[in-house]
Amino acid sequence: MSALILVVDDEPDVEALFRQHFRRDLRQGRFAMEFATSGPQALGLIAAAAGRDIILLLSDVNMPGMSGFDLLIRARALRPDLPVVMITAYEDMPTRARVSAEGAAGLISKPIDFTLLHAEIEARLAAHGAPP
Amino acid sequence: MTRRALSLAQRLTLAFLGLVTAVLLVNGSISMWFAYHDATAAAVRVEQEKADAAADRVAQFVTELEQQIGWTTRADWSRVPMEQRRYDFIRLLRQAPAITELLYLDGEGRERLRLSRLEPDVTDSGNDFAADPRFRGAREHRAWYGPVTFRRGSEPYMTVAIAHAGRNAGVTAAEVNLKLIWEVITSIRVGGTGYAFVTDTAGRLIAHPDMSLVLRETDLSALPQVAGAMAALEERVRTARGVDGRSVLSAHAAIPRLGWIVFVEQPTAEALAPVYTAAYQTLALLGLGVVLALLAGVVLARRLTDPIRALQAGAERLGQGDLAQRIAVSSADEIGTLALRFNEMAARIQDAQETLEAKVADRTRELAQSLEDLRAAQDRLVQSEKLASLGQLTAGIAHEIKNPLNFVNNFADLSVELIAELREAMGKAGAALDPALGAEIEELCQMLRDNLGKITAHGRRADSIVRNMLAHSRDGTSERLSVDFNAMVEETLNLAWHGARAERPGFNVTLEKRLEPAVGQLDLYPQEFTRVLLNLFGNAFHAVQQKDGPGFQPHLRVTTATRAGTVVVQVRDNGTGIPDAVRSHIFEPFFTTKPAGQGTGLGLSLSHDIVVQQHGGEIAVATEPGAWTEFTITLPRHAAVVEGAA
Amino acid sequence: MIARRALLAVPLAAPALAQPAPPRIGWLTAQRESSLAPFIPALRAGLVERNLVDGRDIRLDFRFGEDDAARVPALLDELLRLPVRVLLVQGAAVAPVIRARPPVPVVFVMSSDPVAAGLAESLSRPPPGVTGITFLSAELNGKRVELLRELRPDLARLAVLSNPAHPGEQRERAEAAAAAARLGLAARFHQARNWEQLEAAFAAIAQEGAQGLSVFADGFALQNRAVIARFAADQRVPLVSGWRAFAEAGALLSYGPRLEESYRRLAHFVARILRGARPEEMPIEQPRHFELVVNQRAAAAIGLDVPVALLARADLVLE
Repeated sequence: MSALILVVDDEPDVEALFRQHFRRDLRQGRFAMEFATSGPQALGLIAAAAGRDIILLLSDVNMPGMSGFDLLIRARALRPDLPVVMITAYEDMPTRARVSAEGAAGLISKPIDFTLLHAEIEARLAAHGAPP
Repeated sequence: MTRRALSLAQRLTLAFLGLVTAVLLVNGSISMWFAYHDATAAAVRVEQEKADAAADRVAQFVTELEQQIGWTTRADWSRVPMEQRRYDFIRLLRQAPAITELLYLDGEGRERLRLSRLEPDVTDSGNDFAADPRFRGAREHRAWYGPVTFRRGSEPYMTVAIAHAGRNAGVTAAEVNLKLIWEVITSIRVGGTGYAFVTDTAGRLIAHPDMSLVLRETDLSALPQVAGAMAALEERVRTARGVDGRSVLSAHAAIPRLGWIVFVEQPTAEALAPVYTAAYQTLALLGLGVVLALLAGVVLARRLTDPIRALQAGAERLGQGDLAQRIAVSSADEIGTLALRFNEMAARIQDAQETLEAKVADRTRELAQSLEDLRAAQDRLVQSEKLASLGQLTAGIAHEIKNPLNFVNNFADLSVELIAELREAMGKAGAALDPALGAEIEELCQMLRDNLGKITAHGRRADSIVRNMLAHSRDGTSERLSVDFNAMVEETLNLAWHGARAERPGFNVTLEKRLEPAVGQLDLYPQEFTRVLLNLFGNAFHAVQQKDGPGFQPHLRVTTATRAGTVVVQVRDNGTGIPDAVRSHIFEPFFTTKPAGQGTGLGLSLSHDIVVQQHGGEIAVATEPGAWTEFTITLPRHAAVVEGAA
Repeated sequence: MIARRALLAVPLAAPALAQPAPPRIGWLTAQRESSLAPFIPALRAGLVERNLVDGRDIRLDFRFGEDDAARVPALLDELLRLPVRVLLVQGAAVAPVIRARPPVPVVFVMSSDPVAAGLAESLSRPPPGVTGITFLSAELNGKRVELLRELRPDLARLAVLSNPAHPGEQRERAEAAAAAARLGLAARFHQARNWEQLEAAFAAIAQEGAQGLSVFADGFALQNRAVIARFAADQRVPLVSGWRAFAEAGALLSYGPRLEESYRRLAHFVARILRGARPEEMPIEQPRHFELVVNQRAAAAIGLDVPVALLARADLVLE
């Protein structure tokens, strides 16, 4: 029942960062955040989150092993309507094109503008229909 | 260059010489042949005439005797008294020393009178001579000549018997000592060394200049000329051997009534002397002709080949590169024409060469220029590559650093928020908290907040550096445009000025703009060049700010100008200037004179690279420490930069 | 002319005249020099004619026997030792020299017949190394008697004077005797080879009352010609001889060869021999010209008229 946001990044400190940034939302229980440090781990989380509403999958593009794009494809294979937003440092045209071609919902560049992210999550929550 | 065995001049000379010699030889031979024949024929004729003359002289000797004897053969002599006859005989003996004996035979052949120089005289001996050949022969032929006999084998004698005139005539016979013919024979001149001699029909020598030969009864019938004469052969003149063995030209004439043959002989050498002379003359003329021909040939050949040689020399010199050579041959013939054409050709070649040289020089200049440009481009390429790799490196580093930096900043910011929440939470504790403890905690929180602020600040500074570095290694998303240069400069100046004033209000500097209109449009990367200008303007503003003092009027002058193929922009400030120690380093990356925290030291380095590498221009600095600084940027109008260098 | 004669040389050898020292020509005679006085100049002249000048081209060396024939061999040796290139021999010296067979060419001049003297086989073929000139005196002796007879038609007694030492004298006497016999004359022969004998002969001739005198010409007689002529004049006897010198000396008549010519002709032989000719190739020569010389004065002195015919015949009349 609670909305789930998955964050995938090979950098482990990303979890601490996100938990700190979204401490209030998490404390309020508006949504849950789960973190994976690899593609397969993320897929495992998706599989384990059966029945729950994953409102957003945030994934780094540059990851060892399975890249963000591979994850995108497999995640959407598991959950076709899963919105995926890619996080990347390279905000260039080819990356953009690929992101949209692969069916990602959007692209966020590093360093992450958390204001924008907050807004995006609010929108998703609203779409999910959870009471604010 | 191989030479022929004989030069042209030599061959011409030889040809000429050969021709003339051949002609002379042919001519000379023919004329000599004819001359030989003519001379021989003439000599033969002359010999013949001489022989005839000699025969006449010899015959004359006998004829004279006859005449003298004739005085005693008058018709009336028989009627002359004996004394008178004796007297006549005596007189005859006196007058004709050749007569040794005189005989008078009367009409019946009886010896009437004999008078002798050696023998006793006889008168009316009565001896009968009627059958004697003297009597018979004289009576028959009127004059009878006896054969030559050699008395005592030594002296040649002959009888001359003349019949008297009248009926029943007597005969006077004379014994003649032919030794006395010697005067006659020796007086016969035949050339210089020729001589005459007489033989009888048996070939016995009767008379000869060398009396010894005669007195020996020499028989010459073995000599071919004598044998031939005896045989009465047609050929009256022939070459033969004389008595002494020398080769002679011999001619003979016969005295038939005497039965004698008179020979005249001349040594062949003398007889044919005219021929030999003619031959020698011909040879001498031939020799002279050959020499003259040689000389003439040499001269002619020289004259003919001199122009050719001049041509050859000219061609040689031309071949060796002396194009200014002109051949001085002015004859109107083919060689002159050839020389003329040659000169024209040389002139054309010279022109062409000069043009060529000019063109080559031009091309060389162009090529040198291109080479320079290529080298510059290559340098730039290398630099760009270096920079690209450096850029990639820096980009890589930058990217790698960016992440940790992000975390630094993020966590720093978060930490600041958390401290605020802590203070809030503490505030909520309020009275429950020991004020001293609370104050300590407050102090600690403050220190924490300050620390986090420093962390954030440094993080941002690092971030800015990373961004600058990324900007340094930017790849070709920048565009090359044709811009109004002066407009761009003005806009950028304005931007910089406003930016500087925004940063430090009260900042004032006099701006002077001298922008040449002829500069016009320029192809460049406006984004990057703007950065350069901003950098320069920023540095200028900074410099004048440093110098700021009483009565100091900060002044910035921007100049644009157009040159041939380039555009020059100068930024001059009357700021602090650049010390010598610094000047050589100002374009180095990370070199800055600004205090820590201000400026990254990348500005001028970056500007340098943009100007030089990206635009293919030049940037230079002139300064007077403490007085002024001037940056000069030269941009090519049409850059030869390789586009899209990574 | 000289040059031409020189060029008529038969031999092919080059002239041998150009020798370092002039070749020597020896003259050998048994007589005295005075007896040959008229003739030596003729010889010299003949040599000069042929470009042989004594002292320059040749050297003449004379040896005189002084009338002593026995001296000839010694004189011959002398000349040969000089040495001489050519020997000229005269008169009585001829026979002994030829018999001695000297190693040099010999050119002789003699009045008698060399063939008769046994010195040569024939006139045209002389013996090796020898040649020369002969005067043929023998034949002329008869003629002289004839002339004497013509001179004095009433001649009956003839005296003949001869020198027995003279070669060929015998033959000459025989000729004279034959001629006298032919003419019907009585001839008496007297011989004298020296002065004493000459005196004796004179006495004998004077004694026999000769009407004519014929003297055989030889060196001895030549030497004493003046004496003989005077003797004849004293005897009022016409004198005849062979040589002109006698007529010039006072003889009435001389008939004989022109001796000067002959002596001159000797040079011809010398020149040819010097040029390399061999003597035997040159025949012995006889005189070319005979001359009759009449001494009109001598005739007048003895009261003799010379017949016109004789005068007409004379080659030279001396006044």
